[in-house]
Parts: sequence; structure tokens; C-alpha cells
Amino acid sequence: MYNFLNDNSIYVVLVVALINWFGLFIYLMRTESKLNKLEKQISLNNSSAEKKNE
Amino acid sequence: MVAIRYVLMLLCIVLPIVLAFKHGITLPRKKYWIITTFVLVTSVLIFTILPPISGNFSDARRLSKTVDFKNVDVSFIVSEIVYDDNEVIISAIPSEIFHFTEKKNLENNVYTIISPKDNGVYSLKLNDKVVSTLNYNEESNTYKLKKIVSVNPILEYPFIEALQHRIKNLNLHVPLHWTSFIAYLVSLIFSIRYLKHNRLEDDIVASSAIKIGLIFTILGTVTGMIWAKFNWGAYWNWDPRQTTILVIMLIYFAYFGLRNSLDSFEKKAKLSAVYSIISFIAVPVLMFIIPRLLPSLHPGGKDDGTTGPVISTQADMVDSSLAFIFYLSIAAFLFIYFWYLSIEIRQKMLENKFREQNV
Repeated sequence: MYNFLNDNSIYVVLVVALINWFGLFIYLMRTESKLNKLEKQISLNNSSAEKKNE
Repeated sequence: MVAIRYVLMLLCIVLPIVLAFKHGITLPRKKYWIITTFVLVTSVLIFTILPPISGNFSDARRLSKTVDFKNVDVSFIVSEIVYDDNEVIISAIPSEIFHFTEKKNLENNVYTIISPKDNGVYSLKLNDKVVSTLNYNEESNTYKLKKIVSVNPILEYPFIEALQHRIKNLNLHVPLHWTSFIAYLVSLIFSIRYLKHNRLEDDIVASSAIKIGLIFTILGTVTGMIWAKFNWGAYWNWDPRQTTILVIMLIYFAYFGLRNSLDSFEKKAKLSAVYSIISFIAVPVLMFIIPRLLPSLHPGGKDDGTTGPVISTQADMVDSSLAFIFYLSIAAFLFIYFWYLSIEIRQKMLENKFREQNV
């Protein structure tokens, strides 16, 4: 593996680029799921508040 | 073939937009969206970085005589392999002959050769397409094989002397600006909708679209500057395209200046919607018309009809593998854009809800 990467430096570039992208992608996914949770919580709070008002 | 390309290009631009609108820009992205984004961006990165750049024999011959000689990777098809006493002589299509001095066993027309530079082992068959680094010997008018870059590559990018490997930047630089144009278009649509229906939700979409679009414009400008340093010698050249993109950036920075200077939410939304509609009128002119009217360092300027295989006014001139990955790249960036946009919008809406509850 090391020898292969040593001989073909373009694959090192690829690995670096892909790691960057995977990191950004995982962060995006986490933000997405956290937002989902927050939205659900707030809509739950709102509906319970409405029931109390009734 | 040209028709297929136009269809593919339209599909890569229109499909992400249609899907985003159909499914609701403000809603959380569905699973297929996340998977498509992942697959598209990963494959664009792989197929942008890995494919070899392949020139032809005349490139290699011409450039071997230049002072600052750089290796040219040559693409050819193996037409005949002759086994000599101490050499393997491979004939190629287009008809050129090169020698390789490494003796190996030959069975069933398969010649395993070991490249001296990197000690990689390759099996060459007849009719294999090979991209390799060759050394041209002027005295004997022959080539010596230095290194085999790739055998039967799926994709190969054209060799252009001025660009070299920088040709791959095309897939990572141009789609950013195309995406930002779509972003400003989305903002225009929702600004008009805001003025029509007076809903705060439309204002949130319009301002978020510009915010993410501006990020794409800045990224495109910075990547363009880095590219410009190595192709034109300076980071900033006041080229027509660079100047107009600077004007677009200033216009949309002023949009946020306007928004943040107002306190009332109603006034803020109404004024910025009007500003966004007026400023969008300038965007197609600045992005597509002015750069084509003036002589430019960028391809596609005035008196620059045939700029070769990278970009051209004639679609069939453009190298097909380059064009294909370029279209995929546009789709990938659009998918990322609409994802970021939905996150930004939902965050703004949550803030809005909190504010309403606390008032």
C-alpha cells in the first residue's frame, strides 16, 4: 500500500480530497439530523402549548 | 452525439432544480437526495483527479526539443509486439515504434513488462490502449518507454500545453459560478413571491439563497485566482470575467448591508425583495454578455470562437470525457447547494419561531 501510494502520487491527492469531502459530508449529515430533532421538539412543544390553552 | 450532450447538460442542470422544487426547498432533504449527493461528489472527485492526460506522438516530439522539457503522456493502441534479443519493440497506432529494453516471458501474445522507473508490472496485449510516458530520441527517431501511466483507461483528458493537469480545474471551478447563478435565480423567484403573497417564509428563502450563492461565488473566485496565478502569472488580472464577478459580489454584499441596516422585519423583507429583483437584472449581463463582448484571458471572449477541446462555441469540439464529468460536476454542486440552502432556511425558520414565542 505504501509503495503503491509512493509511486503514484496522484492517488495521494485523491485520498486527501476524498477525506476532506467525507468529513464535510458527515458534518452536513449531523447538522441535518440535529435540525430535524429540533424541529420535531419545537412542533411537539407548540402542540402541547396549544392543548393547554384550549 | 452533439444532441445527446445538450440533453445531458440540460438534464444535469434542470433535474436537481426540478427535484428540489418538487420536493419543497424548505423541507428536510430526503434520503435519496443525501445518497445522490454523496455518490455524485465522490465520483466527480475520483474522475476529475485520476484520469490520465494523454497527448499524441507529435506533442511528445515537439516538446522534447523545448528548453524546459516536460514529459508528455502519450496515448496509443498496441498494434504489434516484436520480441527481439534484448528489446521488446512495440508498434503503435498511430504508426510509431518505440523500444523497451526489458526481457520477459511471452505467452499467448501477452507481454509482461516491468517499467524501470517505478517497477510496476504491466501486462500488455494487442489492441490495448496505453497511456505512457515516453522519451523521444532525436537521433534514432524512436521512443523509449519510461513509465506506463495507465492501461485501458476509462477516461482520459486531452493534453493542452498551456494547461497540463490544470485542465482538471475546469470541473471544480466553473460549476461553482453556474450554481451561484441558479442561486440568484432562486432568490429572484422567491422575492417576487414575497411581494405577491407577503409571507415571511419567502423572504427567508430569498435571503438564504443569496447567502449560499455568495459563498459559491467567493469559492469560485478564489479557486479561479489560484488557477490564474499559474496560467496568467498573477492572482488578479482585471480580466473582464474577474471584474464582472467582483461587481456581482459587491452587489450582493450590498444586499446584506441593506438588510442589516433595517430593524423592522416587514420593511427589511420588502426592501430586500425589491433590491434582489433589481440586482438580478444585472447578473446575466455581467456573467454571460459582457465577458463575451470583450477580449479576455478566459476562453470564450471576443474573437475567440475556437478555443479547442476544453471549451468551445461548437459543442462537438469539446473533449467528450471532459464534457461528461463537467456536466456531472454541475449536478453535484447543485445538489450540495440545495442541501445547504434547506439547512440555512430551516435554521432561520427555527430562529423565527423562537422569536415569535418569546414576543
